[in-house]
Amino acid sequence: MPNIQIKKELIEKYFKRVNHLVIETSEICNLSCLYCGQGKNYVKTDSHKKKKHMDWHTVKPLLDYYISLWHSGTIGLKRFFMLSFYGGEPLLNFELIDNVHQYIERNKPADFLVYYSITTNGMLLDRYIEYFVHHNYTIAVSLDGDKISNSFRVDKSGTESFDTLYHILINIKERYPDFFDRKVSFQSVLNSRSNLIDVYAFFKEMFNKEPLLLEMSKSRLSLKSDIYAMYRGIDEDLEISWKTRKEECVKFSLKNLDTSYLDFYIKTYTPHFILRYPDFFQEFDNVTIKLPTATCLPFSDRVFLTVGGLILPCEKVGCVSPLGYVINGEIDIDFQKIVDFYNEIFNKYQKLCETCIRTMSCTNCFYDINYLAKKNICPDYVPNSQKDKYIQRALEILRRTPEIFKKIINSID
Amino acid sequence: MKKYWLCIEPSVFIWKDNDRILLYNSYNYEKMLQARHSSIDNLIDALIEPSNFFSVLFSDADTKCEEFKEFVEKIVGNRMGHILPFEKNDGKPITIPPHYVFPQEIKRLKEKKIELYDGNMLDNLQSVTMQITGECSLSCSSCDLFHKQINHCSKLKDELPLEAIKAIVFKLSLTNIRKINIIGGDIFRHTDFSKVIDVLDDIAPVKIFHSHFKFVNKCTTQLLLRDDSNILLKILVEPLDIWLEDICLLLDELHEFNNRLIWAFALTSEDSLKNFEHLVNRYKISNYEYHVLFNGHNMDFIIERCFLNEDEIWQSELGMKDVFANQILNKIFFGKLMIYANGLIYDDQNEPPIGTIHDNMEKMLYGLMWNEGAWLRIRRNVPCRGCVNRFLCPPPSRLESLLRRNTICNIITNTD
Ligand code: SF4
Ligand code: SF4
Ligand code: SF4
Ligand code: SF4
Repeated sequence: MPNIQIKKELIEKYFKRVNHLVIETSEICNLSCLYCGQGKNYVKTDSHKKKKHMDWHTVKPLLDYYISLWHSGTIGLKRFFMLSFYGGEPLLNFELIDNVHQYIERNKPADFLVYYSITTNGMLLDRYIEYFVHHNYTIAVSLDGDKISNSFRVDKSGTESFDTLYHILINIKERYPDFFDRKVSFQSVLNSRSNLIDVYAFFKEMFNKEPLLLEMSKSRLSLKSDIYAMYRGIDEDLEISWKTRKEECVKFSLKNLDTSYLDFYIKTYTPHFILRYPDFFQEFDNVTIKLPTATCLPFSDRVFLTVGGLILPCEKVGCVSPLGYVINGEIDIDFQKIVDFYNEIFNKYQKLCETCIRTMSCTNCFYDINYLAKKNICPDYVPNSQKDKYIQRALEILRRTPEIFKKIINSID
Repeated sequence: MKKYWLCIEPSVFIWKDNDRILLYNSYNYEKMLQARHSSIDNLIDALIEPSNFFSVLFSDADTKCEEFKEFVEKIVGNRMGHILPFEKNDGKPITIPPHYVFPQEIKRLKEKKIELYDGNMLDNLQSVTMQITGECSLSCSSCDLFHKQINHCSKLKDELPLEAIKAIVFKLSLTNIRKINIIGGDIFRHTDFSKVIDVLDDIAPVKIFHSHFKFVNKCTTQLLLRDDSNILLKILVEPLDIWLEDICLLLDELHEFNNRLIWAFALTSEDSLKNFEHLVNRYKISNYEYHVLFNGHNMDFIIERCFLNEDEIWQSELGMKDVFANQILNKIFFGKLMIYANGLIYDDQNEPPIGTIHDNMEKMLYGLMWNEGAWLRIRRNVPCRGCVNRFLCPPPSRLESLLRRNTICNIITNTD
């Protein structure tokens, strides 16, 4: 019974009130990382692309749209907005960053705050750092760890990027220590040449920071790709690390698998988990029903605009099913089509997810699993019949480490 | 010496105060009250300790104490727990006691980490009550009291201009709000009343216009309930005793609109209660609601009809989630805001406003959550704070805040 009916009004509402716009500033890159999303190991995505850089005519309509919404009222809506520049390597198109920045600052309401951020491989950072310091940008630098951990990140000629980047970063740290502390963060892709502990140790020691750990995006992997040889999963690594290097795990407060398992158990098998406040009210039924998979509703969190003018729910999904376009200076978005698409997929997955014991703790986005398994299959499906095994494991954990439970529950004053 | 596990059922809540212990089974609503005694204090503390997972070891020697033995037997007799013989090689029995668990998102909110809160505050809004005008030609004696207890008109020398209403409605249309209550004064006196209807007609939530029955006639009803918009009219009926004849006439006159009317009776005395019952029977009114209201001089009636004694409290039938709700938020206030014609916004009209229509609503809601305003007002004040019943009692009500009382019970008299 197809009974998931997301309404187009809801998605339209999300699109209007969203407060995070991500702009694909450039689709080319000055590195050729071996596992990269734009590289040869990934399925081609944005076929609409004829150009390499985002141009002003593509981005302006969307900026105008939001600027006019910001001006349109006095109550409601967040009074701040986040604007992120993403790539390829966004610094290859610095001109656009500056244009967008100036345009927004000139046209936004005076009391409205816009926070800017950029995700970069850092190779050109020394050239523009003054600008970013001056405008208080948040900078996320992609760096996988020490020289070995980072060794899949190479330039066009195959030379490792580590030495150059490291030099640039140390230099910035010395010149702008306060900015570096507050505004620079790191993203590390876990890979077959790295491991969690070494990565944490490197960032702690060199920059006194904790990186954001990422896995290689499975969604855009071509099925037979040799990328699997470079892949390393975070959970698998954690499992090994806790067994073999426990002290260091404690030192870097790495996620404890027992705790996350228990969290999963409580979400799945007990009525104790309260997802959000409105859960207590019947009236909220259509918002709080558990949708299949863990896919977010489009635009509930952000809007992503590609160089080719495609509007996507985020920068992590491929371009196979764009939700809208910016063409000829106009935003073209059919909310009915979007909900039809989502409703269809949700309804397709509903039966499967309903009988899967991971449903409450699922982290799969359908853009990911759909790509891997086109036919309504999920690689992580665990049927209800395996319930006992899961319960036993949770009970063992509780017997072994009863204090974990206290960490998970909330104290009542 | 033989040893046993006392195991409690996972649906049972255990609460204690200075002299009593209450076990409440949220599965079948059974209650078990027990006077405290030094011989069972340790057992209770051990059962309440989350990391014991509702199973505690005792021995033959413990049962030599009468109080201890009786208590354990009572638990088993009431099917709130069971006994298992202790076997050395078996693991400890594990039951997850009823504690709620929040997602990271709400924890962050509680820790006031606004920049890390990725939920949308506006999604918590359920309904808004908007006073479009405070102008009114009547002089009801309870005018200033009723609107502090329910959605009810009240007099004020202001009007919300059409433009302000438009701005509010636009922003509300971007939330998940389900209901908008429109109140007066006399709503029909708004300068642009028909345009107000147009503006509201455009958005999805149910709109309920509230009017004192004196302003309602066939003509005004027709104006409001045109075509098939999702607009309802709530007719506020008060005082019943004096206007009984007029009310009967109106009931006849509006018969054809019945499915879009809600008759709201304000009950302030035993007589009005009788009249109300009589009317409902005589006119076979099915779409009605009634409210027992304080009018400044009917305290006895209020005590009789609103306040609870302990037996009444113990009749409540709350599932586990309902108990969690009482531990977390206030189901009466949560998600509701009241906007008055002077632009002030309230979570509880008996307290100072939380902002104005010119403020940013989302920021206002963050403030409301952080300062634990009416939305999160639970029974955490004296004397409820130390009372075994605190999560079984209904949440703190508007009547309590109007009367500046901390309790809804007759058990413990308030001191402040
Ligand atoms: S990956 Fe999927 S769930 Fe995550 S933000 Fe993108 S669309 Fe939403
Ligand atoms: S893991 Fe289970 S709940 Fe998640 S998408 Fe797969 S089948 Fe659905
Ligand atoms: S009709 Fe309403 S606003 Fe007018 S005096 Fe009576 S209670 Fe007050
Ligand atoms: S109102 Fe307060 S004091 Fe009275 S029974 Fe309820 S919790 Fe106890």
